[in-house]
Amino acid sequence: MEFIDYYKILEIDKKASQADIKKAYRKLARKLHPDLNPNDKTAQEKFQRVNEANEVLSDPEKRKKYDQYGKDWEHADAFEEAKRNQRSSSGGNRRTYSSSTGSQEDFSDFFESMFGGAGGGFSGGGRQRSAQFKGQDLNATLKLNLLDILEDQKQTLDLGSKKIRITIPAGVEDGQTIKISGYGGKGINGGPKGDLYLTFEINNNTNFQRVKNDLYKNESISLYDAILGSSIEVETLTGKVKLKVKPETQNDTKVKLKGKGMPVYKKKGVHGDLYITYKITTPTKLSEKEKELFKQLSELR
Amino acid sequence: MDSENYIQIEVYCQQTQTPMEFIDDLLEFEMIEVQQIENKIYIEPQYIVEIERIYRLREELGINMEGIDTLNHMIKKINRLEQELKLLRDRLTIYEH
Repeated sequence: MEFIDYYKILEIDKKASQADIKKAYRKLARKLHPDLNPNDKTAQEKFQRVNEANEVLSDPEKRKKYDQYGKDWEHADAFEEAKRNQRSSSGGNRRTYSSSTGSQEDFSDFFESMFGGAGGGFSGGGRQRSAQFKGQDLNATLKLNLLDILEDQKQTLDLGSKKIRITIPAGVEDGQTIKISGYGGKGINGGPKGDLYLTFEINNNTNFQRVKNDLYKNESISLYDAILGSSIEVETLTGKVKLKVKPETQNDTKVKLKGKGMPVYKKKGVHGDLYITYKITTPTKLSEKEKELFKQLSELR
Repeated sequence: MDSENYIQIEVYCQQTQTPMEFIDDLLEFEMIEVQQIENKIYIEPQYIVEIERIYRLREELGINMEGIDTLNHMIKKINRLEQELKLLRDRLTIYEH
């Protein structure tokens, strides 16, 4: 657990007035608010810290405690004392920004050790809205290897309070988010449940480059195979296939293997294509004889 | 959508202390759609997320409806650009190998 410099987070001086704090907080909130940065985790994390800094510094009681004990947070006794005192303090008329991602509960360990958790006595006071309706949406990330998504996959997700079984359709995209309705937080005041947003992170553990449903791969062939033609074996996701290299094949020739790409999301039996690009390797360390023969060849042209 | 899942606007506003004028604004800017069933106006649950998001932008960041409408367009545009960027990045890896 590390000491957190809330003044630094809000980019203000230790002598900042309440008005300065409010101004600094609002300025940062306009930049980092999760509703304005829906796909930006860094901004969301920064926003949480800004929110936390504001919770502390905008409350004179808490600010005083922080200034007094903050640097010596390791001294448990002082903290215990601080915590006891804190119970009796009440939330002022502050306002906290909120988001649908549940960031408010996610305060740092430092904060919790000092003030006893975000759910402590102070949070009731000036929260923005007294009644939320729809339950909180949850966000989760699921990491899978590319080879895991060649077929539909059943997986059990542990949400802490409950487990759900889901089927991950083959061919899901890296970064794709799916919504699982009703698996978020409970509704409030009779409102509907929140939803679970599941984002897939697909780690490509193969030699193929994936662009949507198609796969790409370079294949080295010798100069002689390129010139005279040959039969070679190439790897695909579903095993090896034989390819005929035509005589006089040029470097960077692309060959399309239909249906050897990724399965198409939610289209059973349909696959993208695999593109093989031939890279011709020219021979090195030529012998005198080879040099002579190449010379003869060049003179024939 | 099952009509049982519709939420009556008046109930929503009352439970969440959302001013009815805010819903009127949302309708005026065509940010949500409502259903009228026997003289009562209902919203589909999917719009609750949108209502709450826009309410946060307005109340917490002090952005007016015109500003939010503009932001919505910009956010959509950013989403589109991010998708395009990802596609281009993926394509680039073909040439880097």
